Amino acid sequence: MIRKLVILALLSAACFISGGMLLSQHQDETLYPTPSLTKRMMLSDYFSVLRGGDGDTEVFEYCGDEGGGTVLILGGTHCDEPASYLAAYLLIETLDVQRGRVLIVPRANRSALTHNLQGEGHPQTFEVETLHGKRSFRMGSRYTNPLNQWPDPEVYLHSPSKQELSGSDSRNLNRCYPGRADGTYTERVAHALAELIKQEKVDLVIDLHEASPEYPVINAIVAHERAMDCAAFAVMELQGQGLEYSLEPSPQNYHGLSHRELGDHTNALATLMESANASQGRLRGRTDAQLVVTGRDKMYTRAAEIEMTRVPFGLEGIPLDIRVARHIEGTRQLVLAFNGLNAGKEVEFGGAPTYAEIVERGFGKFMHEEN
Amino acid sequence: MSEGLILAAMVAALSISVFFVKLPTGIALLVSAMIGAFVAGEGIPLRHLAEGSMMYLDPMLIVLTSLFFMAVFERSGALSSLNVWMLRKFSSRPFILVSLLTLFVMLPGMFTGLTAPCVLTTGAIAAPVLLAAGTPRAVAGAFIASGAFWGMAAPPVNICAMLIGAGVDMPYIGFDLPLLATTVPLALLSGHLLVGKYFRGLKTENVCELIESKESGGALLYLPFLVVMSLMLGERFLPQYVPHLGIPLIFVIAAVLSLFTGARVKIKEAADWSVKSAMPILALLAGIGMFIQILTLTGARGFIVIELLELSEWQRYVGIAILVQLFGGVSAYGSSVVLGVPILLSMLGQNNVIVASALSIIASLGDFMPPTRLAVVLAGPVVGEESSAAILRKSLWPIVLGLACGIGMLIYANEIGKLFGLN
Amino acid sequence: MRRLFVLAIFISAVLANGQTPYQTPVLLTTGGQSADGLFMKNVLTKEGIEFQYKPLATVADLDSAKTLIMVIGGSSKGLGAARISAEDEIARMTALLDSAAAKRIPVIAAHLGGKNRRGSLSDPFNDLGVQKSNHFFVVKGGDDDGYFKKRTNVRKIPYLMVDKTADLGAPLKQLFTKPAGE
Repeated sequence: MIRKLVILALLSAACFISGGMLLSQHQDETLYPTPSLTKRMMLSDYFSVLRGGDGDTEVFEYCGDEGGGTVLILGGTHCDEPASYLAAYLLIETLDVQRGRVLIVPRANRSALTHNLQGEGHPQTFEVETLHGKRSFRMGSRYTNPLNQWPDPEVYLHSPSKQELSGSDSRNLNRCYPGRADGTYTERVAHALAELIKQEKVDLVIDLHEASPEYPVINAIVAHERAMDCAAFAVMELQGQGLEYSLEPSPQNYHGLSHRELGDHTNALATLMESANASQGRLRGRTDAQLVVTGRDKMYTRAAEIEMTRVPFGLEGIPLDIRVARHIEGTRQLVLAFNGLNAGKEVEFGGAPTYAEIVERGFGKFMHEEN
Repeated sequence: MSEGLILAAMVAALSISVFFVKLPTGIALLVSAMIGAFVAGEGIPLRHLAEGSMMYLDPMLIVLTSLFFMAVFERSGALSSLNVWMLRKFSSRPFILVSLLTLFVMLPGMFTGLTAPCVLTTGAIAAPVLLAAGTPRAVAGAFIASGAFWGMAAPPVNICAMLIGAGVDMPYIGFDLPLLATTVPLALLSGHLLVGKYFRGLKTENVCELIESKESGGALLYLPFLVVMSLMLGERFLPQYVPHLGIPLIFVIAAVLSLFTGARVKIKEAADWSVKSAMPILALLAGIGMFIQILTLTGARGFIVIELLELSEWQRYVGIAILVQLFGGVSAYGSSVVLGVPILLSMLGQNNVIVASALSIIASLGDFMPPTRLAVVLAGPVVGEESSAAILRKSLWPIVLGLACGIGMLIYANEIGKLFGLN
Repeated sequence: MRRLFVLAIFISAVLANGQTPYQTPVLLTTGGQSADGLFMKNVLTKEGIEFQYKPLATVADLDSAKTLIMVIGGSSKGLGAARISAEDEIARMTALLDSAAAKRIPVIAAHLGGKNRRGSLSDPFNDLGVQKSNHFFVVKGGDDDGYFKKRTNVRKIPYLMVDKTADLGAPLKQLFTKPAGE
């Protein structure tokens, strides 16, 4: 009896401690927008059902003095792809829009930042060097937190295409577009984002992502057929700067993705960008905060030697700085290409550091905590 | 410490705990995970262990609730009644009976992509028929595990194939035909090879005497089973009418229904029995989750994958046969995601659908493999065989046929793809 | 070989006449359905070279064209999006290239996609394109192993490697301009 009580007490203590650790991940990081921010909104402003829940997330609006088009930047669709939301955070803290409008949703699937994917061994947080010392950011999951949407069906039937995917993809925001007003939690978030795009008459959507280094579509811009010309110009410019980028058409028979469904169901030009993130790959070695930030991994270096990676992967790895820099530069070039093709709808912004500046100094050095 | 040594330490800890200290496998996996984390310099990573233990929450609930449903369903008299009917109808035609039993056991797996519902529902229904025909308990267990394995791999729902496809953005299209054409004939072959000889020359009268109830009951008895099937199928095929309840809730609904459709059931006794039977399996599933989490955290998982990919072509087929299956022994889904996706990526010149199908079959075989041997372990209580090792020994046919089929499909992926009109 | 000979005579005859063989309008297509065709589209637009872009151009589209530019390299996503098999794409390319030769329409092949557009999927398209063209461009990274260089050497057709796609503008423009001295 005593033995049983001791075991029970130990287990309760373990549950209590680990429960506290898991709960700590529900706290949003503070962001420090530039003075050029014109409005701070919530996604529920576009679809009130989300109000107050974990799915409700901030929308940052930056308006220029001159009229023009509207660009929407999505970070944090998959929250184990840190460059996606860090690039969005960096823009929020550096952007100065002169013309047109930039909307940023840095945590598109906010629920996915509140937990880690079981079995992946990811760290809960990682630190980045800034001018004000170390700043901590959360590492999240690819999927909506099961606390918000559970249980998964065995087979996820995408709406409206009726395409079949594995059940866990029902919690994958980038398989739930265009979303459903009366659907699952994740489908509602997708619906709200589609509503935002329609109500704000967004012209260009840039959905930021990362992928494992062995994934076939990487260092790439994927574009809906209506956005192909714009993306092609951007890719050529990026290649001209010596950055490896490929241009990929959005597959017509694969549904639920932002570049397919937002392109089909809204008037926006839908694009998506991928950088190479070793900490989400299947071949990675030790998984810790170090790996997230440095992108150095000896297993991937071995994998590159047998040509199993789609990007060069040397001992120096692919650090977060480079990945964030690519997203910032990619965004800039997509907007410039859009401007070139859409006279009268130009969007012009400054403030954001260049690729070279970020790679040289680290993106953390451009983040502002005193704005 | 290098990843290879960490892996070695974890495997050694697991083996010693299971074979020498004789710990239950679930606890042994926890010990192994803790030792792995410790030698990797992580101390006791409480958060990781907690996170890992929840990895298989859904399968845990399915196992628990389906065992409860079976306990109530059996005690309501439905099982024996169904068996008498089956034997009366088909005992003079043993070939048809064995074939039907095989397909019957496969059925829930074909729609859930899991072995547990097969073993614990249709498997449990088939068990008394098998035993009545004189099939040894271990062989009957192997038959049920075999049906469950083939059912898991068979279309329309093969979760392993979906997971592999999702890793490379390949929609789940074009899998039905190749999977149907391979799994169903091989399932039937496995079934006949295993129990065919016991059914030849079967006499109805002798058999029925062996079964508790000689009279088949009214149709109402089967209602709970029909409810399970129609809710599972309805959710899939008529999603606009049938709500998504989740398999655990479906089993609970059916169990409650069983209380009113047949003989009086002592509900506490049924619940006690199911919790007792489920407990080692639940511990096992929690243990596997922690084991995988630490395997990934320490880099041992990546080490396994990269070692496999570095093999030359022919070595790789052998490596796939061993590793995908063995990792599947930890978790078939885990094996599909962790090993299946990189293997598919390394074989992109081959027909994707066939390669993913083949890998899904090999990964599904993991349900026979230690440490979990899920299908075998679950089949034990269903047929009343204490030793799951005995059942595993009798399961040679499905394992050999499954492996041969999987590797053959890998090697001739393009040719087979053309056969099914896939480009 | 005979076709090549005829074409050589044709080209030299035109050259002797003081005209470049590369006349507009251009029919721009892909060989392998990669999105790289759009890069060429951008270059042609920028240089003001008249063209029509048809990724799935057929023999009939050659009627209104005076030069054929084919951007080679395969993309499984592109083939999938166009719902065409690799075999059918090879057949379409062959028909188009042979018809161009028969109609004495000169062919420029260009490989713009770097390493990504090489390998088992792409090289059948790459080989066909380089074997049946009269002028060849490649962007750095696509010919690290000398695959194209070797083939163009054997066939004795012009080969030019540029650093990036945007650098193709000037040489292309020159190709479509009358030779100096006229």
